[in-house]
Amino acid sequence: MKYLIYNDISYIFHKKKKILLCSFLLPLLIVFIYSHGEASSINIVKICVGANFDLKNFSIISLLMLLFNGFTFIYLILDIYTKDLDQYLENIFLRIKPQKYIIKKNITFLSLSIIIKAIQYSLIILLLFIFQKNILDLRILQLFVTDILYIAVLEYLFLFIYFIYILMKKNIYILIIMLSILLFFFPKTIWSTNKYTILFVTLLMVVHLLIISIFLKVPKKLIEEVYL
Amino acid sequence: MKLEIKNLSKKFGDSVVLNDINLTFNSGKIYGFIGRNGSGKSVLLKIICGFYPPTEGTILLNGKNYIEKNEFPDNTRALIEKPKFLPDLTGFENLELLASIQNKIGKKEIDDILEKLNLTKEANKKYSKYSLGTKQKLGIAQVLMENPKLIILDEPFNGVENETAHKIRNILLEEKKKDKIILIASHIKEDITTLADIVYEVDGGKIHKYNKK
Repeated sequence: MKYLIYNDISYIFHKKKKILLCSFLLPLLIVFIYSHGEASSINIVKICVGANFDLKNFSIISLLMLLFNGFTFIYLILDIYTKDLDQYLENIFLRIKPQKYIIKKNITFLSLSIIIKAIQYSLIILLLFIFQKNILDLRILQLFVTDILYIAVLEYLFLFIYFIYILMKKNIYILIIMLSILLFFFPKTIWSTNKYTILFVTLLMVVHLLIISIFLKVPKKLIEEVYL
Repeated sequence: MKLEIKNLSKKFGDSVVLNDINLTFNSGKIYGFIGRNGSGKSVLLKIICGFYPPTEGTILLNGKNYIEKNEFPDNTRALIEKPKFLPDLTGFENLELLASIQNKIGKKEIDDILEKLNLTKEANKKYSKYSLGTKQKLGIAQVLMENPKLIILDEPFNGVENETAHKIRNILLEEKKKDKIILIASHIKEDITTLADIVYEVDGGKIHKYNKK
């Protein structure tokens, strides 16, 4: 576990520091812009993560922040899982059994996502505090939890789709079909998923189980297809 | 210890990389694989490590078919292509971190292997500051430190100066005496022919015994 944690953290800080920095700085820029107006703290935080995006009440900034929020974590999960299967093979798989690896990896990556989100929210709250906004709003905490759940489900669904895609010999049509289904059914607003917490937790557990099953069934096929 | 490769073939699409390979490796010997770049040496080693599934055939390690069970070989360490370490940690910390996965060895064994490879001075420097040769030596240290029974090295002398290459050769000869199977691949014949007991040439998907004389 210690090795996987160190490896992921070192990789993110060395190879992905720009994207990490953007995920911290962009929300701060939003806070900076909106703090001078009348917007409440919760509304500013919602804009920062794109949580208030609504198709009926369209806002380009909210849409961009939602896309940025989602794609940052999707990119990180795909990159971090594939780097293990591509670059660290002998360090990992000759020392850890595949079942232990995938379970520990899921736990470490989920923890890493939560830590990144926690840093992001802490910085936002700190800046709101500096701008003398009310930060003692429980809805911010509620949004934090909802955001984590939303992002976690989204990133693991993408990882699941990616695994299927590479096992299907990188068939682009299958990828398009799966992504279309996901985009059609997956909620477009973070805040609205508040009502479906149990459903999201269940979905997260199911996706994790599916990823574990795929990995244990065909670990070598996955490694080979990632490499090729 | 015995490693048996039976009727092993590997295809990538329509391209046949390895075709009906049958080999047996016994402990206490160094086996070398030579062949031009892209001849299939690395693919063979990756299949033995369990990283790639063979298209056909199987591999038995002490009679256990780990390929069929979707497992990786026990008591095996490998260095495939380039060593992979964390740049911010020192050489010692990197080895310590890797050793923490299985907790088989402690600081003493890590110090011993670093000393054996003349890495004691560099052990407390960050990995990112290492020269190519030192990185390669640390990669070898990672392979040897936990006393594996099967050692797999792909191009271990890459970027290594003559003196270090000589040192690595001597260490591998010592390891051989401990009843291990050592498999080494290189595209430079001289690296292998001076070290290995048996040399195989990989070419056109086939593997032939290479006559050293």
